[in-house]
Amino acid sequence: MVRRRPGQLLPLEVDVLEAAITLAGTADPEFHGFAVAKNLADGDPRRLTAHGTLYKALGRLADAGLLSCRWEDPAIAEAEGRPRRRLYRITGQGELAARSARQHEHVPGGRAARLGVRKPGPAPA
Amino acid sequence: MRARGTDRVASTSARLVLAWAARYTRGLPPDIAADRRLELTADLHDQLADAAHLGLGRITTSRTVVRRMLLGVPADLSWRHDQLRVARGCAPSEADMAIGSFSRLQVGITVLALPFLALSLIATSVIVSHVTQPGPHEVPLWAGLVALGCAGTISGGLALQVRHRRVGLILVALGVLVVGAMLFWLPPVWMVALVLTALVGWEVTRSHRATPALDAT
Repeated sequence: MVRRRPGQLLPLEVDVLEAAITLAGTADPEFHGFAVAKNLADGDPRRLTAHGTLYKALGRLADAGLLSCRWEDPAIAEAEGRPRRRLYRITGQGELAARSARQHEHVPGGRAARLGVRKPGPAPA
Repeated sequence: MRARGTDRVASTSARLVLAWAARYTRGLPPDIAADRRLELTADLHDQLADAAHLGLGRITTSRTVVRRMLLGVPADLSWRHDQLRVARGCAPSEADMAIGSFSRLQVGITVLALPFLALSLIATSVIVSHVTQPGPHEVPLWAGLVALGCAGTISGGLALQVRHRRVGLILVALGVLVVGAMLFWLPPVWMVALVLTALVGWEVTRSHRATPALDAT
């Protein structure tokens, strides 16, 4: 029952943005929903974020312009023998929002620091 | 034989998730519904592949899949509600944004529980009176007052939490706890009270952590 004031991120959304920054630091700056859930679970597959919660948060962040998203090329999915994924990418606005949220949280480095994860540099918007 | 059986378990849990998705996307604009189902299909595929890669048992994987589905039900319903509003041409209002999906669930549960709790309090006092002092009785005044007090505290808390969330939630928890404590010998009542109090406590903690972030963007 988190009251959402205009311009306020929920803790999960902050965590998703931080996961997005971490994932953006890898070879491919785009990521899919399950990759976020896996990142948030900190390696424990039994702690994966619920489907509804995760995709609602991703949708909100995309609507707010903090993430951009597109559907994967069907040929790639077909070649790999799996369903198409929706791919997300953090925007510059999303990075700013994550940084701002981290400052408000009074935890230098935010979630990544709490988990002992080294943060990559800013990813391209 | 066992592998076939456990495979069936995993595919059954995935089918369950997709069946639920088909259910809550029913009546939504076709493209939005299809997008959500396709995204879930990809997620399930990735989860099952990842679990196989990690060597997790199919039963464990299935349990995780079902757990993810169940814990996401309030968000799914809230998402559906928002999509329907958008489809009907009215964007989610500030009031809707102010009270999240979990809030609606909590308010719903509490509102449903209120008459039950008030009646339980009165019934309890009547039963106790008859047991301790056999004979004709009227409903003791104190029972009605306590029931009204608890119901008022919970209702007031629910109303107050829109503007002063923590105070409101604490009032709700207080009212629920008093009811639960008075009816400690009735497991259904105190179990409801404990669950509601736990939900409220969880929410107070979460709301305390809610972080202003978009202001800077």
